[in-house]
Amino acid sequence: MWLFMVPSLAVMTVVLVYPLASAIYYSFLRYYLGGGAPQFIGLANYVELLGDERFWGDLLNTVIIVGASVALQLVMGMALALALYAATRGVRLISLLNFLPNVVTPVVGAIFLKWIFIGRFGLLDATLISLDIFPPNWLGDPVWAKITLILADTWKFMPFLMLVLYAGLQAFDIQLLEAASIDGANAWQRLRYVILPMMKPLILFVVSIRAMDAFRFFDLVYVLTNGGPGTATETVTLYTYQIGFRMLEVGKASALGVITLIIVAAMIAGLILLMQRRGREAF
Amino acid sequence: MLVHLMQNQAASLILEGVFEAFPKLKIVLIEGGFAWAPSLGWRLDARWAKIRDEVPQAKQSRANCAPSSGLLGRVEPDHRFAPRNDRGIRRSALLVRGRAMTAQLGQAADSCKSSREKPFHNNGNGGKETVMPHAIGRRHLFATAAVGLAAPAILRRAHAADAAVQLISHRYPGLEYYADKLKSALPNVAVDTRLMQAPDAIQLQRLALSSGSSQLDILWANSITLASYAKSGWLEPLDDLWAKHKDEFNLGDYNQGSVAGCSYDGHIYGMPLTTNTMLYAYRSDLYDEKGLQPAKTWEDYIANAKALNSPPRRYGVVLALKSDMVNNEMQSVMNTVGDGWFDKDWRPTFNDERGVKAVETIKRLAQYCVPGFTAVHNDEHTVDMSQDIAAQGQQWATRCATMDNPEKSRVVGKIKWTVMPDGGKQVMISDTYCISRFAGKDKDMLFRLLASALREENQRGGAALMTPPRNAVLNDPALQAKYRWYPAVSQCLAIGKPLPALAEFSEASEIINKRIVQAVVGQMETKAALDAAATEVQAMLAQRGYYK
Amino acid sequence: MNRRASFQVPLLIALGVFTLINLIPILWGFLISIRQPADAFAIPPKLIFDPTLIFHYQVWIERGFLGFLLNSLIIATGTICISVPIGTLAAYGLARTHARHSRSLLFGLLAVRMFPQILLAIPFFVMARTLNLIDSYWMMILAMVAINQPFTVWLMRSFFMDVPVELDEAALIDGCNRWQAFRLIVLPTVRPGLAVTALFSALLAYNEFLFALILTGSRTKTLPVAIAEYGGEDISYWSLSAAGAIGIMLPVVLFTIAVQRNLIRGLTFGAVKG
Repeated sequence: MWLFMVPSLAVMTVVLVYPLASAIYYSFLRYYLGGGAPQFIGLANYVELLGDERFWGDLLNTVIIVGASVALQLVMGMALALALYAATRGVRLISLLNFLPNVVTPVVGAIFLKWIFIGRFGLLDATLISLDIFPPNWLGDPVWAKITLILADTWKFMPFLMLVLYAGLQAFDIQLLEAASIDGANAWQRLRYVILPMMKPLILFVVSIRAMDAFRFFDLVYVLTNGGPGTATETVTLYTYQIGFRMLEVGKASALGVITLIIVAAMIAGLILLMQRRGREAF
Repeated sequence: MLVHLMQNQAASLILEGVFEAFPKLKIVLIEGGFAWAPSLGWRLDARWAKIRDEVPQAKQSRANCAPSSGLLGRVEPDHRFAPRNDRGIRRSALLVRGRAMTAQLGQAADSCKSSREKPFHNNGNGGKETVMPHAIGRRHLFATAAVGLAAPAILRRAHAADAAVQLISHRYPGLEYYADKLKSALPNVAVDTRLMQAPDAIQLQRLALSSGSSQLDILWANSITLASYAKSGWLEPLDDLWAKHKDEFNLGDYNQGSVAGCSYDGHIYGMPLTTNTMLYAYRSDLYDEKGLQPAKTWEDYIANAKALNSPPRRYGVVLALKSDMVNNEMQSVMNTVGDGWFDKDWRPTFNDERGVKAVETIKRLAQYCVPGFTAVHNDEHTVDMSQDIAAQGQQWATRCATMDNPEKSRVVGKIKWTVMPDGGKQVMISDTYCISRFAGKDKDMLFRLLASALREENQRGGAALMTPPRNAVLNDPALQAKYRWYPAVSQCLAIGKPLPALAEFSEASEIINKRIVQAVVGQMETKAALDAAATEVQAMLAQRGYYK
Repeated sequence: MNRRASFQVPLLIALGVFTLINLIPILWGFLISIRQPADAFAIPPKLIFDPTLIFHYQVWIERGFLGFLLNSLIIATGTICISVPIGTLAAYGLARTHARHSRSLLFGLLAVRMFPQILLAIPFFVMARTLNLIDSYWMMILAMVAINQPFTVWLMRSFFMDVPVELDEAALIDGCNRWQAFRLIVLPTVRPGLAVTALFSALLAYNEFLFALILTGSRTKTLPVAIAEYGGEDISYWSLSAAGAIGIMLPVVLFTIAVQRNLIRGLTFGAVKG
């Protein structure tokens, strides 16, 4: 059986393990990209980061932005999936069109959104001004900037949730719904007591996927706010980038990467435990 | 009833020798259940000896049969062949096939698969068997086929970098122009140019230079990256080559400010492309309307912004405070209202009393600024001016041409330029071409390549795109008349001030800029923000060996 | 579900309106690509204008984006062709192994994918330079395969988990060896899963920016890198990047349409089952 895994493991060992091992090794170095030989400093990078207020602030930002956007995506994705499930015509076309934002190249998607949200000449502001509405400061106000990023992230990733949930509904046994109907359940009760419980493992699955992706949240922030105003929308990944490629402290940035990895791994382990306790094979 | 019919069909197919004649044939019976199949197989096996005289077509004896199979043929459930009903529930299906198949299941399965792709007939009314032709299209292994597909594409790959000179550069129209000139600068020298946004270019250059790559020959740098690279020992000092070729390329004509912008620690490291500076751009029509004069002090500048502020359609001023734009925007105010960024020992001065006042000035100005200024860079800034969203602001000299281009601007002819208030001291930054210390090519050739790309006639051609560093071109009256912002550019270049010649300035400014923005948007109290920045910068510089 | 006509009409209208709103950023990007900047960013938004194809012409013809598109397609195809087969094999192996830690191993691999990629940039660059593979398709494809591998394996494994192990056993009893059972019996049943996996692998490789920036050169430059080159500095660059952005979407959209039927089926019977 293991023979089947040989080619895949070989490629990963050769191409992935070396860079990963190097990156982890860097995290124990004072490695300044502006010259000078790297110097082994043990856990100093980690100690410094864990005592860094900005890191904790960024972690909080990441959790807030991603948490809110995943919640929003879940609600919208579920609503859309149900609507698609109920519709009898045009389902293919509508699901395809709504899926498009998800397949747009991230860099490109971020540019598209910038042209919508940018101060005053972006489409949104330009339209609101024409309608005599005073537009909010989408990217420059600490609260609005978070909301904008949440909306942006939702635009990009909601389609994925929509499609997965819709696929889940497809596999759903319609007789259960019919039975519930006959027993007198109204639409809300059918959703609350039949559909949602059946979809629970699936919902957990997509939420965990998105939660893991949370720490890759980069392109949108980089293009839209670059973490601003101040550090109001700075995420952990953006901070990693700034330490590594702006401050040129590759060692410290790698340490932050390893910390991120540990957080993600812990999160995944937690989810697996949650799944196993529920006795479901969702993965 | 139905079951009997099925059993009859299966028995007669097997006993009458259909599978002897067509060993690979398979027949599917659907909608007949399958519980009877094993017993039928057992009965056929058991009775064969007795009835063999009657069924000469079924020739096989028990000894030849695989133990797991039915003796004469196989009748087995196989759901893969079963159509779904409209509720998605599989109907039952049975596969009937010759026993010869057991020995060659590989092919059997293959043909199963092929036949499975064909649509079922009669799947609406159960009980009828469907006979499918066996089609054994031996397929290539999936992987082989896939790699086969990819191979031509991959083989098309280009060979690794060879003879061409490699350039990594920032991209804006002026640099595109010179990258193009590089390609035709010397006969028989091919130049491979990669132009991209500044952060990407710098990132790539750092990767290549820090690993001593010989695949990067020439690179664009600005005053800040030049200092950083030069200190790291990654750039070729050009003093000797400069002296050697001075007459051939009339290098004495370069203005001294530009050459100084390409130097670090007393050595020339770059060939000047342009010196860019920021102009005070304002809407002359709006100023006239309100009877305003270009500001002479920062207080006037704020007052003008306030007077012209009419949100949300038009704002008094535009600022761009995204990442590295902060020090460009702040340079003038930090040098006139404040005491500059650092003292001569590289101790921070930006957080002293006057520095706090400088940041407070920008904070007050920001009330009249187009919203979202912490998220915008030069480009958005330019659009704000050209779309009549902002009435005044600091504008790079390279952006002036856009203002008078009707395809890009709605305020053609309405913008005027002058010097920043309080004596300017606004930012000046040189763009240059440098030669990598690790270049794989002959450095004399590389120098001649750069020098001839930047010869006078080329600079004349690029004069609309960027301020030329040659005096003969910059001071040419014809050009001064043609480009109406040139006089203002000349004045600004006379009073501007380069950013601190600190090799670590880009890192230091990364820290300072963040804190300044936090102060301007009110996330932190100004003094506290600047003190925090000063502490962090000193710690960083101490780590780099300063203050010893 | 309510499938009455009186319910269908408002439902479809609501869905249509939502879809339209959802697509506004893309449509607006398209409009920017066919207007001069002075019109593109006007207030109020200018919907009546003289359309121009000059930016599309410049991007595709003068600035060589067609070549970059080809590079992108080569890299995406190469990635699928290597990543999906070997990933599928490994996934099958994992799905049919009773080793207790196979799932942990898998999640370990998946977590690797969450490691900030910018930090892998330096080692990858050093590796490519040592092998003298910068500006070649090979390095980029290899990097993409490696980075996609955990995800591919993980996704395919869930498809295989859905195929009853009895099917393998029947094949083995009938005389197949393990390879034949996999190749002839199990693999054909997960075809929709292959389509889904191929789509996601292709998307990841096709859309990759950072590694493409570092590992490709002017001969192998991909479309995302080319578009990003025009990200700023001159307003007309914005129009160019808009034109490029519209172009980069077309192959993806076509590919998505091609696999759409499989996409929903694949998601239905594979990865997402509870």
